[in-house]
Amino acid sequence: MDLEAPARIVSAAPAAPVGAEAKPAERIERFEFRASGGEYFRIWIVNLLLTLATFGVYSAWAKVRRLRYFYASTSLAGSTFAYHARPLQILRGRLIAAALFGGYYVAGTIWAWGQLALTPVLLVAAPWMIVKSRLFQSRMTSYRNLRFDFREDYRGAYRTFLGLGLLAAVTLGLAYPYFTFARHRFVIAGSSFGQTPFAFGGRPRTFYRAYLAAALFVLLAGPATGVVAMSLSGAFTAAQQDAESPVAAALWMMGAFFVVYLGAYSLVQASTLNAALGSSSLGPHGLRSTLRGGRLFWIHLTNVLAVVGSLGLFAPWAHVRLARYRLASLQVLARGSFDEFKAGERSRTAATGDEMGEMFDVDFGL
Amino acid sequence: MRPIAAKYYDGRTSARRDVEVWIRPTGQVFVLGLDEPCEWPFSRVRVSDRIAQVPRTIAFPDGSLCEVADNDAVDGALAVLGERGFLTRVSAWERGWPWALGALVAVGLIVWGGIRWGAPWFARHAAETLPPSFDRALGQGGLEGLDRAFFEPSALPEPRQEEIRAHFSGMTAGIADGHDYRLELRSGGALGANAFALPSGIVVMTDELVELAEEENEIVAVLAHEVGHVRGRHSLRLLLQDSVAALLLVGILGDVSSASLIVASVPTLLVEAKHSRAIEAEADDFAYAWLEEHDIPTHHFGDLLLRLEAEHGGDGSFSYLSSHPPTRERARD
Repeated sequence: MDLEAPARIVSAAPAAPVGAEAKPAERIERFEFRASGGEYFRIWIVNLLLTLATFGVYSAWAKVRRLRYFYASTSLAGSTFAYHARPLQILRGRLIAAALFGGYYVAGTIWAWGQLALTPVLLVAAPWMIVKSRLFQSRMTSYRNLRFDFREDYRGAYRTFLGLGLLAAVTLGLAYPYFTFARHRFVIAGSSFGQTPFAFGGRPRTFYRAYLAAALFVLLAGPATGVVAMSLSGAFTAAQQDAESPVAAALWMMGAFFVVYLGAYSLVQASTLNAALGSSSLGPHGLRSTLRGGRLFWIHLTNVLAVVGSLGLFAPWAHVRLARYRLASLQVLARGSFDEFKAGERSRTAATGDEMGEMFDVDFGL
Repeated sequence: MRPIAAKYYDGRTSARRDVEVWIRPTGQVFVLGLDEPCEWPFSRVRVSDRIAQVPRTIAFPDGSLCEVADNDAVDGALAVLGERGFLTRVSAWERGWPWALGALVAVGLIVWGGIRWGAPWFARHAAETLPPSFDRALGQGGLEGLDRAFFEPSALPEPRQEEIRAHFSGMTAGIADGHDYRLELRSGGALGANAFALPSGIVVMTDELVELAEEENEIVAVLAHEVGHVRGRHSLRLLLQDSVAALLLVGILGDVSSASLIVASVPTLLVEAKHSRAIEAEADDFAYAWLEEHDIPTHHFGDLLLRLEAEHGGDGSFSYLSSHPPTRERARD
């Protein structure tokens, strides 16, 4: 794709750009993902061996290699992404996090009220941790040597995560779709590429629709799956004369719950991500997300079964598979050249204090 | 030495230029294809480590960067300059299937050995360093909880209770390991014939088990088994062992998807069951040793175990989820 001249590509092109109602210069840029499960397996297994051999110290290097592999395997319009965090930064963060977590755990075992007392502290610290984490992740990511950035809006974080989170809890979940909408908005609208901020155009009602669909799914699929699980469990115990049957029956029920939960989770994830990303834009360029809940559910389910069945060996393929689908479902609606972005004022070599955020790197389902 | 094709980004805008990079054996790096050719000493240039076949970056001191797809060419140039680090070897391991399969075998051995021997070994030594107050804290509230849920006060006549308590005090009088040994008798209710030990030193036995025994020495044998649990600080060790094993498993499997915790819980259950069986066997050993020491025929223990199992409706079959070893094995001693 020649990006030096914004192409006037119309619908005759095989890349099938958006139809005639869009601006004439719009074209679809797809993400390319060249990673393979076999290639990643070799990285993953060496990571694992060295991590075990060094009692976890190598895990920081392992994380950097993993993310660099995934980022550099992802390309858009002929350029790849890059991850810039240094292993020592990550190691420092992990050691502190391990100490904190260890303290939390020990407090829980010795003192019955220990974890209960510490949980509110964690809740209050969470929005701060989320900002720090997003900050680190963004600033360590670059495309065409321009770093991403994140707005350090702590008040907004508290309003969104703590405030709306409490609201969702207090309203027994009725406000939860709105909470999800606000979370996505906070993260997307706070992010920028170089000097250019992302814009978020989502509406709460799309998120409500997503959760309603998932709730319907649970209502319909839940009892059905439960019945199937009970009959399977009954058939197994009858065949085995197993004295441990209560445990086995419990496992079957757990399995049923898990499948239903996974289905609902996939549905919600697909529709909320589509809504959030699809309404977002960066400068003149738009985004489009075409995830399908059913396909996502299938990938998650087969991944879990394969990983458990292979005693964990399938994990690298599972990871690559999921990433490939998610990238394949994301497109950029490009209007113009990608050469027009400018770097932000933050220098590229800064961001040392931000590694605090690394230890809070939690997956928020984004 | 040949030129390396690269994509150049100046770091101020997102514009891309196609350039050629020359890494000279003399230590200079040239970039040709820009408006003005660039030259840098190699010492000030940062080349990223190789990872599989993905493009790597060559970063220049002025903040600009080259993205290079031809990894072999870069490797060649680095080799000529004598640049070789640990991570170079790591990436060599990552690219060869023999290395990967070797690593796989090594990981398998480490994980299996870790769970089978490492975790219990660690638990035993860690438990030794922890004071008995830990055990007390672990068992806190246990008896009260059970009393509320299942138990009624013992319905055995007082003299009978005294007899059994006498056996117990005789057994535990000489033990000074910080535990507060005490025997509690209860009417078992839904739990039926049963006996267990709380980490603090409290041993609980139900009326139903007392009545199931046909010989006094059978009761003594069970008491010895339970004392064995306390002496061995089994609750604490189980907790430590299972935590280590769980951490190990979650660490390996944790990367997959948001369902990782559920994925890790299945093998964790199996591991916990196995640890539990090993610890029951240890308590059995303690009981047998004690019986032999006091000249009591050891078959009494096995007799009661078999009767107990029949009482609970089992048929001696074994499942990987069992918390106890198969009864036939336990009674054979």
